[in-house]
Amino acid sequence: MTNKPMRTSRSRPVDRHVVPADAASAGDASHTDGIPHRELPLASQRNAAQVSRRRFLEAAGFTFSLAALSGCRRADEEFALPFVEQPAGRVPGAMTEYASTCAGCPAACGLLIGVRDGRPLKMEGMPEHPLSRGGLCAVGQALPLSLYDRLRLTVPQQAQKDATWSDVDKAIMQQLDDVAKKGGAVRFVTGTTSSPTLNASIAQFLDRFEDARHITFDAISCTAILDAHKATHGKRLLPHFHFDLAEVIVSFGADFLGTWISPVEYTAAWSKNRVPTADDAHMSYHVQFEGRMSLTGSKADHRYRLASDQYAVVLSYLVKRLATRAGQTVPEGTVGTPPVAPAVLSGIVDRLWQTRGKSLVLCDSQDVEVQKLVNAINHYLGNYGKTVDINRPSLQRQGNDADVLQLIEELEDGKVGALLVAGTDLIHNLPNGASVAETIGSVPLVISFADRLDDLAAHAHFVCPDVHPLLAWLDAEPIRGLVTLLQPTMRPLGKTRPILESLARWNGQDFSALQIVQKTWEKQFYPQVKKGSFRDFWERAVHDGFVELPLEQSRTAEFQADRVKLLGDRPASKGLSLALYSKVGLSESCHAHNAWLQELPDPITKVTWDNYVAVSAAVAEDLQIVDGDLVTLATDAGNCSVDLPALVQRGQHDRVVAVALAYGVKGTDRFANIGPEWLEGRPTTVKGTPIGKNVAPFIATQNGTFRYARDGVTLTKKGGRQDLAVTQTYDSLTVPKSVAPRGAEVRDLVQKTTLPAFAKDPSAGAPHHHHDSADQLWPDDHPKPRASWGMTIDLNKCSGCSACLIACQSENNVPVVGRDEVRRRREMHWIRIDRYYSGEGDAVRVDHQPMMCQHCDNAPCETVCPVLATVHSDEGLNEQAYNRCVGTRYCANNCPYKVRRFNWFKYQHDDEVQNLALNPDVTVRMRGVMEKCSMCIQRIEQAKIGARRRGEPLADGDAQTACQQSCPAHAITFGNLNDSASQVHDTAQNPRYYRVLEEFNFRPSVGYLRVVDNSDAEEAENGNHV
Amino acid sequence: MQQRVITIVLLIGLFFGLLSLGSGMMSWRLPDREQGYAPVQPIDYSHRLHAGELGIDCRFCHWAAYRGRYAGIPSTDICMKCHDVVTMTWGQFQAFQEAAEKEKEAAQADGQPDSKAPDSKAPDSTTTSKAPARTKGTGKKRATEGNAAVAEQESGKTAKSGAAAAKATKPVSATEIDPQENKLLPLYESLGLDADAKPVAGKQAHPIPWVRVHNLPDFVYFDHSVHMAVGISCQQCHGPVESMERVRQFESLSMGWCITCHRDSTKNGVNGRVVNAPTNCTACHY
Repeated sequence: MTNKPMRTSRSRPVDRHVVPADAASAGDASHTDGIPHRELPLASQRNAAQVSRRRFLEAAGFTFSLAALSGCRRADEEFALPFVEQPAGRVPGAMTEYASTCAGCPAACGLLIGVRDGRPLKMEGMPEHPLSRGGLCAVGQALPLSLYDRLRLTVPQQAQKDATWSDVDKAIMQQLDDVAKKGGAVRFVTGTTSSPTLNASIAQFLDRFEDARHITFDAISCTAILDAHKATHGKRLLPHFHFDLAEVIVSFGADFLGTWISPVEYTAAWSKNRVPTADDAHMSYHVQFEGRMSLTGSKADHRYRLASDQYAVVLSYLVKRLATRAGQTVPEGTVGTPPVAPAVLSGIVDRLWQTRGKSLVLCDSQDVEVQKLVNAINHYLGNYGKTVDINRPSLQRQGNDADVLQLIEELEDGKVGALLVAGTDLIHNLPNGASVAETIGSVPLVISFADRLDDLAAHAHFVCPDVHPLLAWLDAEPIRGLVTLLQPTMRPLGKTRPILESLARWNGQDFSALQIVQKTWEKQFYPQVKKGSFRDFWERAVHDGFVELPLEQSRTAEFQADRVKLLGDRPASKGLSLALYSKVGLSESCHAHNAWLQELPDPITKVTWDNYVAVSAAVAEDLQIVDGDLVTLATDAGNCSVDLPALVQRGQHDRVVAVALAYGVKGTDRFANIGPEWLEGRPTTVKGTPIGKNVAPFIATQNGTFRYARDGVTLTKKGGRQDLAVTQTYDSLTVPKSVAPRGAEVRDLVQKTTLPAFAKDPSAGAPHHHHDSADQLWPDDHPKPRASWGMTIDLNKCSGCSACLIACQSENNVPVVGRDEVRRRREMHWIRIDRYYSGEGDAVRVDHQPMMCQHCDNAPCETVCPVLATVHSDEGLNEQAYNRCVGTRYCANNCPYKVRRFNWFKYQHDDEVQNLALNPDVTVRMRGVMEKCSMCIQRIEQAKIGARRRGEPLADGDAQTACQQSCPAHAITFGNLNDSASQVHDTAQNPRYYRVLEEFNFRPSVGYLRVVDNSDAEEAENGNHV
Repeated sequence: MQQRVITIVLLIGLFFGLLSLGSGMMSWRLPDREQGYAPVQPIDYSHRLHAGELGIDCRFCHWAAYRGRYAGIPSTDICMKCHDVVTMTWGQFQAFQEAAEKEKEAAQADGQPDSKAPDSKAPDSTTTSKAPARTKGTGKKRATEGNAAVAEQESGKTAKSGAAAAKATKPVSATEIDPQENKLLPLYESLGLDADAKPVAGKQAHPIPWVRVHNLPDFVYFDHSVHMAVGISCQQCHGPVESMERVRQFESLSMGWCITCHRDSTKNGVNGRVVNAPTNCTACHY
């Protein structure tokens, strides 16, 4: 091919391109040279008087394209079907919000359910809610996708076969009567449920049996905190922590910004104290001791690596020092030598003592003795009644491990006559699930309320599917005295039935869930308020979504110091320490069927679609492994082992290996073909193999509690690899020395400073290099006469929790692409949260930076688009017109922020049920077009239209982006920069304000507020251009 | 020779291709090719009669137009707000009215008092107040049940006429009307009623399958309410619907047509008001 000149002209005679038969047979080099042989024989064996292949293709192509074009006709008649009777007040196409409560986890955050044309579509945080304050986490945002899931059970099941409710009810009532007559033991297992109505219903249901108990089982329980309070304060309770009142927070492993108890509430409260201003350079001080790298640890001012078996020693030391300071008797026991520098601990003791009553010490240990030490510290500091509230305790985790262990014993002894399980999967989440499954097989009556066939439901005689929480009347009481309502937004899908109705039916009553809830409220809560009629009270409650009941007379619980024992003599293990945790997003196994959450990058590791063994660099070196190498994790006892890919995690304790729970869930092999189907596509998982591996068998049982941290495990290299689907592979802002320009060894994308430096100069941390903005490549031709939409993200508040990511996905119809496409760096999320590491060892710092389209005024993408598919609006937005885009991808190449996403395939699957979760206000992008953050232009337009309709000017806050709306930390501000009264205008004047890559004069509309570390240092560790 | 044959074959192919392209183009689906599209509807509903002759405001039925994105196809119960009491055809009605006029004249000649209903606040009550009606329990209920949107309507005239009509003495059953003539049957059908407007056991209500006339491309988001808020009349885009027997697409509804109007409106204002009709891509495409 190479030495034969290519044809360029079409005017050449046709026969010039035909190889004569004789020439070919004679092997005429001038003709045959370079022509691939497989093309030759056909041409040469035919008669010379033929049309050339090319000419034929030209003509044929033209004819075919004409034929194809002539196939274009008017689309089939389309019908516009109106209602027969229009429901009052429903405007077609308009979003109506209903107040409700999130049931994604027991934290029970306030929820506004956006309902459009009778379908719940978008979950938003409820700004008035006293706990979540407008925030909503990724799990809550992802609820619609689990609602519109065709694999949910739609009919009750009897003996693993579809059945009708009347048959099931009859059989169950018959069998329950038998159990009652025989006096058999009835055990009702639920996850934590703070619902007063459900708890009352269960109690009422169990009332008719002689031996009946309601057992609360949490997949990740906090039982030790409750038990410790039983010991030290006489009452088994979980305190309500007030992070907004805490000036010093010392956390031992508690991932309160990520997954611990009530992360949205805690993030909202914590972020309040993370805003130093020029006038008041003051912010909370947050120290984290932990073994693995948690989201909370990544945001701490100081983070010290400490394996969980060393917490006891450090806490004992703190107890001793603080007891002495408080002038109280030091509890008995050995103090020991803490493995943390004495100066560090002394500094912490000083800080804690200075902020007595305004500090908070937390621990996630499942060891009751350790939790007692924490209680003692909070007691010496006078935090009880202030930051640690036990008068209005939290009901967000009520799991009782002792009860569960007793149940397991009873099951083994064959003592249980009937087992009812709701809202939790005992078999998947218990360490000895397999043996429990066997014992459950011999229980005469097992009823599951699961909405899909989980491990337990597969062993149940009856499955009575509960309705999805978005479709149910129910209530919750996250904090004693704060009662909230769940209201249905659609009729139950299929023939599911609320658990309240099932229980009532089996008790011989025929009440609807609404009636049952109303009855509880009328009896229990209305008398406490006594204002107006019950109907008024109820309607107010349904409208608001919650009711704050007057505080009961507080009873002070006396602290019993003699129950505390110092544990300094605990021998620290030399071997590996396993930390089992739940991932942000996939917090419980019931969410494993949610593709949005499966594809949500872990905020720290950025891994999607997998769990893995996170190891320290030391272990990795020891075992000679790199990311993605398969390793075998096994217990010393040899009773369980699992093969998982490894991931080297910076900042992890040398002895700690960490694995996420809630993976390996039955039925998640449904995601096998979730990605696009193409030649080189690899399935997300092999059919029949769930996503990830279940590591619940590694949970240790010790002194009556489930331990998520344990020793006695070994890690060996298995050989073989499993590439992890990671969305971020660059970890550092430090440029390698060999190529770094002078003065720019550290890129200033994430700018940071320290509190002392900030106090001196609020603009501290700004890069020193100056650029001449007059030196412009672009003309200043972007007049914005009306609005200029802009956004500011406070990096000091942003915890990286990724709630915004799912909010955006839900709002903007962002597709799920599957593991293989993520591995090819083709994930489609419009927001990515960049995570950068700096430092080593204890000094590892993590920075999170949400990065989406920056809507540059001088947008480099716009200048290269050959078809003007991406252009600038006169309101400062960088617009993407999908139907104009031809997919050259020039814009993505020219984007300095790398925020454009290309539709390599048609990602949306033809799943009619799943498609109901799509937002009708946003185009579903087709294959071959570019997309990116639009700053929720549909919301802006709706806000503008609404203002116009009301005849008012657009007010600040009318237009909210999806990410901003539900940010638990309120880190995102959005609005009109031209409006000097707007909040975003205000933040843009903040001395911490900067814009990424400002020096290139792209003039982005998105700005960031610099990170301020509360450390004593004058300069940020690994700071910028110092 | 052979080459010529092939050329001829290709040319013939080309000819037929062009021919079919040409015929295909005639019905090709481009926005401006939809102009004049007037599909046959399941009910021969006459906008000319209702909006033109009877003068019912567009927004009485298309009430959602000023509240949200979609103007909305009226639900069957909106039709029944009037047709609960108005059950005869227009022709019959006119004949009835003539007969009534004659009767009145005769009565006046006899010196008897006027039998006309006293409730005639509605300006056009002359056309409807004397309409015969079935006095039916459900009829009134449904009228009062009408949602707030309709109550707000300035043209609640026809609904009011129910009370007046109820005073008329001679009820006419729908069965008395020739089924060929009775256009209300599909309406009853939709509500699950029989020809006499009585509920039929086991018969389900179902929506009337109106054929969509104005069908915008998939990528465009149009909001009725904002256009109404700035004072654009319905006719400006939909044409003289009040004179159309069967609705047809009057304007091209192409992007060029939209933008021309947006530019003009920004330049000249709408009804003397200054407006900023956006011409950004994302004003409509997102």
